Amino acid sequence: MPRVSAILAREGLIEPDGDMPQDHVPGDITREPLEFPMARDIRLQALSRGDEGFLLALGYSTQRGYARNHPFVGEVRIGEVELELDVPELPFAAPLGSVRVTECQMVNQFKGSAKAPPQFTRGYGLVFGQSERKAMAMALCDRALRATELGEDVVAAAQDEEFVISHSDNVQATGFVEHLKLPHYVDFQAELDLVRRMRAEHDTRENAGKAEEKREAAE
Amino acid sequence: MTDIATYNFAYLDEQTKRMIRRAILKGIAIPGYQVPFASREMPMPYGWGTGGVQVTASIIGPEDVLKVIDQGADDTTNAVSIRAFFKKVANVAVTTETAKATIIQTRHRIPEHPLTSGQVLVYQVPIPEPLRFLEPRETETRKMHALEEYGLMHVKLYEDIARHGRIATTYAYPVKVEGRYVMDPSPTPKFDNPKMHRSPALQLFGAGREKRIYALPPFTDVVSLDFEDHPFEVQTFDQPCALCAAENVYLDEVILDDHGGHMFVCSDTDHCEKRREQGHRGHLAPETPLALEKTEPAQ
Amino acid sequence: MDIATQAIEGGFADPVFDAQTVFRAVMDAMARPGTLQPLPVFARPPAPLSATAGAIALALCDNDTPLWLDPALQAPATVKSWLGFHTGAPPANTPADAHFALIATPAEMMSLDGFSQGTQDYPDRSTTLILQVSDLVSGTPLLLEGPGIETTATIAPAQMPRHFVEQWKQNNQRFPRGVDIVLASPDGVTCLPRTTRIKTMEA
Repeated sequence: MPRVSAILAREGLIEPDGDMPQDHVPGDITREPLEFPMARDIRLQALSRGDEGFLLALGYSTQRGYARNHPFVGEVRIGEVELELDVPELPFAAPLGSVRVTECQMVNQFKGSAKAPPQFTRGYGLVFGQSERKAMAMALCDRALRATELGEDVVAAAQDEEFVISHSDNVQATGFVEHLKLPHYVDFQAELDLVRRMRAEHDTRENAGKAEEKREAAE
Repeated sequence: MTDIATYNFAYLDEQTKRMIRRAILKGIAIPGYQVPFASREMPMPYGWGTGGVQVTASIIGPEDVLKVIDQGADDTTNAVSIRAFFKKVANVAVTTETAKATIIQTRHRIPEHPLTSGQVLVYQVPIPEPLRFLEPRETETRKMHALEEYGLMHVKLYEDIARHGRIATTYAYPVKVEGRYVMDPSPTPKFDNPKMHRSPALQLFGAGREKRIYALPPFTDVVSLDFEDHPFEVQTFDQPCALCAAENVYLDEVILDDHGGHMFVCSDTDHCEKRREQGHRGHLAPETPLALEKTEPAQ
Repeated sequence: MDIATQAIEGGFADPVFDAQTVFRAVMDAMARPGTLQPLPVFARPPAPLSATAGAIALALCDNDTPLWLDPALQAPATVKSWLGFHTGAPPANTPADAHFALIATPAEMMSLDGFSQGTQDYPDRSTTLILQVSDLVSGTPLLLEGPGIETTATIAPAQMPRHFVEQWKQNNQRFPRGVDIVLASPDGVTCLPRTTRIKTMEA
């Protein structure tokens, strides 16, 4: 099935699909630790696994003017993709099954910059399951995160790669917030001791100051 | 044994263990440097010790005896769960006795009983980057470590002195390792910092969510950052442990009633129990000694 | 025995526990430079790859770790196919791409700085060299100091690389970059991490 964006591409009005260099080996965020700044394939993987609520809020923030990028939904589609396994000993790829995914091609107006001519640009979203909202939110975030690549000023949270990607994984986020309910009494004891000491010193200074004032008033 | 059959030994698959083992070796070779590793999702939330658990799972063998503590105690929820996890997936012997353990996984404390050669202390680390609260960006902090540019940290500590008359960091107190890398000791109270210096034990640090492993080989210089006119000091307590009368140990304040009445007791439960077994008694010690959990052999 | 059989036989009898034992020996050796961590024979690789070096490769290498072989190990097809079958490690295109290098004849090896040294940002991205030595007593005595060593340690590994002490000094100077060395002797494993400083003991 041809993509809607391909029709615009025929007129030369939209940027090409953003192919990685020929010798680029796609990264795998499940097998390599993240490193900043990251290539777009890695960034898209991280966004794909990102928390829907987080991406939704960030995407929404771009619509409200925090790094607005004038989005139009070029296409949203839902389908099944087949998963294949390459076994070196076999002459063919072994099919494992299929996964339902939702894809969004966002078409964004772009007036051009020092780095790129005026044209439509793309934001891309691909998410597991049937979730148009998350696919669209991801496409908005992807486009915002391309700011540096397209020569735009980085002015808002949604454009900040390290901020967005470091906080998009909801398994990490939920774990770290919830770990606050584990005991922390050892570190708290250390802080308690410090605050008590500083408070005592503060009170001593205050009292000394007041005593001084009284003496001066009496004189 | 049926439980074991459902998992590979120590839960992780062999390729993951190899990847973590390689990171551990690099960590030992570059003391204090944070080695990035491809941390896996574990059957527990990030922030609950996934880094420590992955390190322990990668080094542990059937002959090991494991101790797990949280806040110095063997009976806190995180410690109990992780100990039970390894009993289940590795079928190893577990203990609460510091001296009997070959591997000690810890959250927030270093045991009071001196560690010995051959023991491995595995720390659970939430934020491995000592510069993170001064500079949130990894791109920047990595550069600072590369260039050994730690001025920002000294400025922060100095501002503390200017404002509060002292360095206002009481736990996760930064250290310099072998005169090169500034390292986060994990959120242990600074009381424990001197125990890291030239310890005969191997110390491994695992941060699962942040995907970093680092290490201190035995007999490695670990110096807490300070200034000549404001030397590093550990916490001191005005009174001994209310249960075992220990001095020069780290104490927790336990609330006794609704009016703020409290007592100070050892945070290291094994240390406290051992002392009470030896007959040491604090002013609030109960009449009869507590029933103690002993070493449990592997089934 | 044909090549295919030689490539398949001689791996770990019990991969999970053998790998753990070998790793633990390497970890302890890396943490306590200069100590010999004894290892029983776990692997029977084709010559000239030694049992100890072979076992270390099985414990640490896989398809994520490009592996470089010195000419002595490059020569027989059996070594390559044995390592390929048991570890899946791809051959490194150059020594500078290698995560691990296996060296059967250290006395003839290329200089240490030809391997990956890591970067100032990522000093961990360096080559770990696994050197086969016949013993730790018949070579030039080396006095070791540094992290992991309480005071000093002494080893005298045989067949070490030419100008090793001088090369090692340069390796120290590159810190935090630099290579780490694992010495595989018939009795076990001994390590020289990049932090270890060497003093010769010749009068």
